Amino acid sequence: MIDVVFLLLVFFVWSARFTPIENLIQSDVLAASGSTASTDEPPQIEDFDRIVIRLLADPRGVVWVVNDQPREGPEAVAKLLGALAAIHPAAPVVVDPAGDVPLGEVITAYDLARGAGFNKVQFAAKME
Amino acid sequence: MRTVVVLLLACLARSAACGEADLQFLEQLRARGLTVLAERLCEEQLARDGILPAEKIAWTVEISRARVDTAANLPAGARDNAWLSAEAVCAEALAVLADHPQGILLKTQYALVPLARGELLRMEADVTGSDRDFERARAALREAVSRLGKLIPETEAGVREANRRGASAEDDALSVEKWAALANNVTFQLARGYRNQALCYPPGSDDRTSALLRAVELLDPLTRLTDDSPVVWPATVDLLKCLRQLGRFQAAGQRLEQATKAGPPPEITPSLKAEALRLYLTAGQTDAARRLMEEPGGGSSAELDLAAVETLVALWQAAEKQERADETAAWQNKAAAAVRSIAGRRSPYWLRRAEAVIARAAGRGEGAGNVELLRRMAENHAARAEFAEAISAYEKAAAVAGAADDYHTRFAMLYRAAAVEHGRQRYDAAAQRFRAIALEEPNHPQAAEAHLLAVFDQSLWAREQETPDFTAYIALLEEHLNQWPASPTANQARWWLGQWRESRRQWLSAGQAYAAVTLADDRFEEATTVATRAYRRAFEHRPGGEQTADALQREAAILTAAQSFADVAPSADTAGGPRSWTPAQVTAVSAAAELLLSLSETHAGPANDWIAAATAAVESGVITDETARRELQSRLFTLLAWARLRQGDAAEAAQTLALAKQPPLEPLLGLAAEAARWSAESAPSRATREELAALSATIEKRLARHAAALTDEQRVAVEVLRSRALLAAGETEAAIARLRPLAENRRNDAAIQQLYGDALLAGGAKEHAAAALAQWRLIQKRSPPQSARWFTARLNVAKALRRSGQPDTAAALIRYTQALYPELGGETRNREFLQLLRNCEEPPRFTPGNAGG
Repeated sequence: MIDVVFLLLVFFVWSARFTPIENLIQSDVLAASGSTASTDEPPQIEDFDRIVIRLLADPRGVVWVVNDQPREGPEAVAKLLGALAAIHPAAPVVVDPAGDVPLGEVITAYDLARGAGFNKVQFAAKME
Repeated sequence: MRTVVVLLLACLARSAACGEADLQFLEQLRARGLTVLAERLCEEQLARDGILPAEKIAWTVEISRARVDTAANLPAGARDNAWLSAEAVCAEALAVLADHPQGILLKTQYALVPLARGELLRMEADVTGSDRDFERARAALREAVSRLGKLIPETEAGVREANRRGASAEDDALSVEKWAALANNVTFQLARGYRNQALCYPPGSDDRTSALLRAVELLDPLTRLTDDSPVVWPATVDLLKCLRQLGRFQAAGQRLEQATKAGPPPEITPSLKAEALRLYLTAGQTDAARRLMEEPGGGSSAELDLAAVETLVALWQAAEKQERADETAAWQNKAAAAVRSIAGRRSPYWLRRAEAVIARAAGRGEGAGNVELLRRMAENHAARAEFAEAISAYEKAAAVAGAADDYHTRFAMLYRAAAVEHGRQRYDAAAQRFRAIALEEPNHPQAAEAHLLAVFDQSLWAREQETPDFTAYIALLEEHLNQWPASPTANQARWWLGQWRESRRQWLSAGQAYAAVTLADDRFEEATTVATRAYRRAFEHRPGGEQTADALQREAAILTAAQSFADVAPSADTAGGPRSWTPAQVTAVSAAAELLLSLSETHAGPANDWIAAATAAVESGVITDETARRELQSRLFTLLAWARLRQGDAAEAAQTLALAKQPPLEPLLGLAAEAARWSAESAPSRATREELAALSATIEKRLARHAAALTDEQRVAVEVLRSRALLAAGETEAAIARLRPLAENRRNDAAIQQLYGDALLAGGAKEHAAAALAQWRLIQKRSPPQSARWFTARLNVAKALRRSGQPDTAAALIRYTQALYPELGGETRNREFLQLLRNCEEPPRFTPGNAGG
């Protein structure tokens, strides 16, 4: 079932890059080297958090979670994404649906991110 | 055992070269077991200038005898050197004096050393039953027999030569009488060698029979000598033994009758009676043996005591065979009493032999209903390394005792069974047995001790494993403390638990274990010291120094420990006042104060009182050792300085610290941390700042004295404290310079990384702003998302962005963060974020020197 969802997503979202979310793949840590670190300043983009929209299946419906903070539903998420995009539209957005979340909800999340103005919307790859 | 050896060697012909007074003195030393002194006396004589050859021979023989005595009295594993030196001294003398007219004395002594050794080994092998022990005995006896055998023709030739010379003998030559006595003695000793050799072989074997026959051949002529020969009676007794051991009972009986009629000397009577008893028993005449045993007189000896035990066992077995239960039990009790008597009066050798007699009898028959006999049987098995049999016998004894509701004895038997398991290094089985008996009878006086042994064995077992697992060990320790918290053994368990937890860096629980050691324990003082050390480490390892629930629990535990240490002090109205304190109480109360001061800024009041009380005790002279008193005074003054600074009085703290002649490191570090905290966190007046600076300088000087003793961790802690002080004093560049190498070398130390970030952020130079940005970005990246440290880092990233001339980006970052996490990491940080946001959104009034925020 998961594989089928993936195939469909690839079909619909042809531009999306499949990038594991940060929590799943350990990122390298920059080496601090005192004041000389200033010459090796990381890109500013790292200051702004990646936006991770998790969709979790629940008997009462899909649960929406953004950066580990539960949200009321797609409307609240849309409002939040709008506010964030207004501040920093270059922030990457990762949609991370659980395997049993209906595909329609996944597409909604994607559409909300794109609609808010984010250019870089990705799907989380499942680490087997 | 010693008596046997002395008797063996006492027959050696003495040279007149040793004065009679010297010989008597030597005998007295030996009789008191002062063999080393006897050796020294001989050595002094031998070292005399102008010592004559005959004297040298005489003193060499004596020193060899003394060394034989020494060897016989040493533990089995430590004898070899003594035996070798007893032999070597003769060999060295023989190298120059072999041809001396009295050289035969040296040769005889040289042969008697392995005989004494062999006989001792044979006796021990009788007890252990070990083939290896018998083989060692045989080797020594072979050597003795070989040496003595070569002396027989020499002594015979000596007698002939002395006869031929008659009165014209030279001064040093032995007389005919002496040569004859020596010849008899050598023959007797050779027979003794054969008899001991025989006993090293199994009964009925050809080797045993052959050796016994040789002994009989040699002994028989000796028994026919005139009565004034000292070997007649010992030879008679040995001959009787040989005949009995050969199964020639009739001949033995006749000889015994003759000997008894001949009127033996008193020292021989017990041996003859013992032989008579054994002859009756061998012939199955138990009633006759009983009558003889019950006859008064006959003297007393270990050999006779053993023969009596053999008789009682024979009577018990006869009654048992006839199914006379009461009589059986009566004889069993008498046998047990006889063994008890031997245990009290004779050497362990005779006790073991008596136990072996009991063990054989109890093992054969149904007589295993007597606890004491079963115990003897078990002990005999244990001595012979028959561990399974020993445990089985102890278990039977326990069952018998249990059936009679004698739970005390039952416990003792099972305890011994567990000890046997320990002795054979089956530690897991020993642990299980000890634990089982302790839990079965937890109120038994030895229950806690048994359980502690279970704990000990469990640790030994765990250590033996390829992958040691101490889970069960720890569980047992905890079980011990739950079950017997007030037992003296509980303190040992607490100590072990503390050590184990400390080795696993579980500082808080280690501290708790040590702190629970009670005042009555000898190691209480040491326990308070190590508990304080562990608590200190627990405090050093607070994650990020945060006030988490875990940290609060830790503080509560340390507070409890501090109070418990303080509670050991005598109350103020105790008679004698400060003089009623003990040094341990002073140490405990000073530890209490130190713990309290280490906790947080809220606990100073009681610490002051405790320090004052302990100081009064020290000044009243309860500690007599001057060095210890000075050290404790210095500690208390340092703690007092710390407490005064805690109350905000830096000047008073400096004055108090000046009184401490040798302030110890740990409280000094605490005081330094306190000074740094005051500098960093409070907003003191200028005067106070100056006082703090003076105090810090004093502390730094005092700390310098400890430089060599600092551990790496402490050195880093001192560096951090200095850096904090510099930061507080506004010397940012110096602080950055100190912190930079620390931050580079300790990348995983969050506290240092944050302090370095703070310093960079506070730095005036433009490049510091960029470095601060990089540093706080790094900290944020390495912090768990949305943790307290993560929010702090995010705030400081925003500050650094503003400092770097990017206030719009900083403001965007704050708004972005606020949208995602509306609470912004809590009330305090929320305020700081919003204040920074306002600053960023203000028209550009910003000056580069301002840290922002």
